[in-house]
This record gives sequence, structure tokens and C-alpha cells, in this order.
Amino acid sequence: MTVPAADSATPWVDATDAFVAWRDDGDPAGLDRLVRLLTPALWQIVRGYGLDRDSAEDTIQSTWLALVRGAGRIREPEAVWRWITLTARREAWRVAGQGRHEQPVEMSTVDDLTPPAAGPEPEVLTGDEARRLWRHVATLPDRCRRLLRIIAFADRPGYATLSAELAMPVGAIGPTRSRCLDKLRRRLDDDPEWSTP
Amino acid sequence: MTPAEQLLMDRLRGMWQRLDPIPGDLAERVLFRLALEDLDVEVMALQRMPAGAGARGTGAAERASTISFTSSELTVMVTVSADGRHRRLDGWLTPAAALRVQLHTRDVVHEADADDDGRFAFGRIPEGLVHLVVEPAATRLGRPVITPAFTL
Repeated sequence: MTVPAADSATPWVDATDAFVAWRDDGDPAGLDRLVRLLTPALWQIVRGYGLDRDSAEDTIQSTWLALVRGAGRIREPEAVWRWITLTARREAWRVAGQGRHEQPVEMSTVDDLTPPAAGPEPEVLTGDEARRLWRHVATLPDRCRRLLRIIAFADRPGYATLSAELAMPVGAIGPTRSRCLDKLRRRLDDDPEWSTP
Repeated sequence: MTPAEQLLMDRLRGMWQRLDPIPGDLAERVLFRLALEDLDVEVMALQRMPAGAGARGTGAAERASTISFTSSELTVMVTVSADGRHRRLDGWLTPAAALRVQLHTRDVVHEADADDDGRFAFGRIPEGLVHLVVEPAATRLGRPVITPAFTL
């Protein structure tokens, strides 16, 4: 597989470097880097499938175990990110099918359980705005919610990769994203409490 | 993507990060579990407790919480409670066995011997990620069993 040019200078390149350092050069710190780099994105992807928090954790643990056990069979290190996300998606889809999930994902008790993440952009919206936005996002179709969530955290992985993750033709991603954002925008415009542009 | 779309995407990202954040120590626990892959130990499974028991909660400082782990030969149940500014951990091995138990924190390994009823305890343990190792004895356990890391 050749990596699209759009992938350069993104975390996925760092992922490949870390993977090669660990598997081929025997540097244990490579695995450490890989896990820390990709686990936050895996969390968002897996939660996008509607898994509850415990199931999401289990899914991520088994994804990484599968990587460690199957590392020798990954022939294209450039595809390691794709391999990991596909494994996580498959497992998330399987677990979601067993019913250990919430539909849609609930924010209910999260605030009580977890201190706010030290995210890079807490200033883009206040807590109240976040909760209001969440209620509107919850009314979007599943497909929209999942697509937006994956794209929001994908950091330009290239549409070829995204197409596999979303099980959707490459050409459909951009238009679908725009339609979903449009739906959300209309809900926000109709909400008198939503004053943010 | 138009600037307006980009702005909305940024807000969505902020929303998910704020309202559905990744557990802070998840990557740490993944790495811990992966490090066991090459060792000859049996990794115990975490038994889910009913809602509210909060094995993974971080804010339950004043409440006792109970966590249970199982392996093919042994069940370990632990109750975590406040011990001054630290934590106290009371444990129970079933079937009962007087085995040696290690509590690994990030920096230190504590040891305790379970009594004939399988009960053991660790006091004054700082908060943080820990795991337990139960050592085999002549008549019990073929190899060490180890719990996944959990947060005190």
C-alpha cells in the first residue's frame, strides 16, 4: 500500500516509525510511543460505536494484544495505523452487536467519574455549550455521529484510510460530512439558546 | 472544508474531549498488560461489579469500593478504603489459601502473607496505579497469578 501524500507529517507517520523501532529494531520504547500516540484516537473511534466505557476499554486492550501477538504478520509498517483501527472497529462492532453498549453514547455520569481531560483545545467552547451541542449531536443519525467523530479525531489520515474505517466509498466521505454538519448547523440555528456563531 | 465547517468540527472535538474523555491512565494500563505478554504468569480477569462499585472511578476517595479478579485457580476480592491520606486494601483469596501476595506500586513492592482464611491487607498505600501478584506455593497454583493494573 502506498500512503497518500496527505498523510505526511501526521501522527500516522510517527506511528509507523514507532512500530518499526519496536518490532524491527527491538526498541521497547517504540511500543510505548505507539500506544500513547494512538490510544486516545482509538478511544474516540470505539466510543463512536456506542460501547460503554468498560467495553471500550476492553476493546482497546484486546486490540493492542492482537497487535503484539500479530505484529510479525504485518507486512506493511506504513499500514500499522490502518491495521490497528480496523482491528478495533471489528472488535467494537462485534461487542456492540452483543448488546454491551449504550445507544447513543451517554454523557450522564462521565463528569462524576473522570476529571476533565487535559485536551489541547478546552477554550473552543464552555461546559454549557458542550452539553447543549451534545444534545443536538445526539439527535443526528448514527452514521453522521460516527463519521463526524472519527473525522474530528482523524487528523487528516487520508480518505483512503477513512473510507475503510467508515465502510463508505472515498467519494462519499466529503459530501456526507458536509451534509451531516449542515444538519447539525440547522439544529443549532433553530436553538434560541445557542448564540455562538 | 469551509472555515465555518472547520470551526464546527473544532467545537465537536472539544465537546467529545470534554464530555467523553479517555480515562487518564488507559494507555498506562494497556502498556502494563502488554508487558506481561512475555512472562510466565496467568493474568486474572476483572469481574465487573454492579454500577456504583466503581473499580475504575477516580473520585471515590471516601467510599470503599470492591473489585474482584478471577483466574482458573483463584479468585481475589479486594476492598479499597481511605487510610488517612492514603489507601487501605483488604483482600481475600478464595478458595482460602495462605499464599504470599505482592502489591506493586509504581516504585515499590509491598508483601503480605494471607492467613489460613485467605485474608490479607495492605495499609498506607499512596494513591495510584497498582497491581497484585499472588505467588504459588508447594500445593497451590502452578504459576504466579497477576491482576490487571487498577487505580487506588
